[in-house]
Amino acid sequence: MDEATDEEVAARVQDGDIKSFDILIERYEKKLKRYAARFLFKDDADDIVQEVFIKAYINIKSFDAQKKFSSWIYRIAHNEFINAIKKKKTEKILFFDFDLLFPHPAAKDSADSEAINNSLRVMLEKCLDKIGAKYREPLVLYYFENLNYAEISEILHIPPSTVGVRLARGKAILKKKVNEIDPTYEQSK
Amino acid sequence: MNNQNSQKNQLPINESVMQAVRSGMIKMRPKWQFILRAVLAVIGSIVLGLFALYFASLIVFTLQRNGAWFIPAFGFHGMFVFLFSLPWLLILLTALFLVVLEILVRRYSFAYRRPLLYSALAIVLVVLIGGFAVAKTPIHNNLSNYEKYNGRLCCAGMYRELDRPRFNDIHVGKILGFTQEGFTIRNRAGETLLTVLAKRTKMPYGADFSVDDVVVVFGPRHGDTVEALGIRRIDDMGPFPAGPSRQPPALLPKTGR
Repeated sequence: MDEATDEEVAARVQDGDIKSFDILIERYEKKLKRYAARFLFKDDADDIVQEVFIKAYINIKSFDAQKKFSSWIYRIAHNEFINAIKKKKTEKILFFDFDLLFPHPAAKDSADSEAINNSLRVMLEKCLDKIGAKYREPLVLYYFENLNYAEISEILHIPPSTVGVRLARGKAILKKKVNEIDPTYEQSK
Repeated sequence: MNNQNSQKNQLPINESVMQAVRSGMIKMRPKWQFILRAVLAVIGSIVLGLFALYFASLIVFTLQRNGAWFIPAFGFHGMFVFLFSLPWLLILLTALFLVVLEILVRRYSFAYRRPLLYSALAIVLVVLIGGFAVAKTPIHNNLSNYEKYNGRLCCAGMYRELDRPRFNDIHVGKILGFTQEGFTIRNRAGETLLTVLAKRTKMPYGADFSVDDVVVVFGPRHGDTVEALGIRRIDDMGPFPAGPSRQPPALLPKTGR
């Protein structure tokens, strides 16, 4: 297994070592499939992930090796996923979001315990399809891809404070949906 | 690409992508394309910013030149007339440039990492402050004079409209002399108007006027007489015709017209 960082491998691909691109696919295939499966719920998620790697290869020379490769490829994936949603018209994607307009109180990465996060993950698995794309995506990236606010901000091109706001609202919607499905859930906790 | 996908789908993702890479079916875009795109985006942003700055300064210049800028000092009626005197088409055009500029700027991390309000306010402030600064320079006056005497600007006709009063209650002119009722002024159209003062005439910046002062008179016009509701002295925002035999300023290039 190659010990080089993603950025070093990407730099090698940029220099013409096309075989190294296989390493990047190996490292990100599972992650992007997981991201697609939870964000898109589509049968053709594999096709879309394949398209992400094709786009990544075509545009690899636009990647700045001083920055994080993961944020770069997740950004490509995000764009592809949003395009897929728009194409299928399964959900509404708003062109303008008022959450981006105003400053929000500085939202920090929450310091919830692993037990709480695990419980949230279980709830999310049950209800993700009932949460709109705007809130579902940061929830997937934070709780399943284990990315922090700054990384999610780079992927979604939104301020980190807005990431915090969307996560908080997403969690509130999640709790409401869980209670609708199982009213005893809150009491049983 | 869909056909390619259906073929590739029979293989695992890494194999199908690497096969497409090795066969040359997909190729890396050369770096110069990304650099060119980034340079074009920067140039586009600068050009849009300059246009927005030009239009913002033209709005300020137009309002100052036709006197509407100074009218809010005369109270609610003045404010009302000011709002109706605003060049809304120019304002909408400037706003459109600002929106496109904001969309272009949001691509950069310094903008998207912060709330949209910050980058939007920064752009509006830069354009407004820049607009005021440019309006203070002689650029619009020179362009206006050039167009007046040569008429060859690409925006032909735009500056000619400046001297035309946008609202009947605003009169900008140079004081020619004083009468028992008030004073006479000559406006940019070369007309001589008698300005009649009354007790209710507002003079928020004093009544110390003298011959050759440029003033804005606010009030209804009846023939060649203006019933002054408000008067204030203003900075000279451009030439006033001296008489029927006026000549173009010597510095302006002459044409065969």
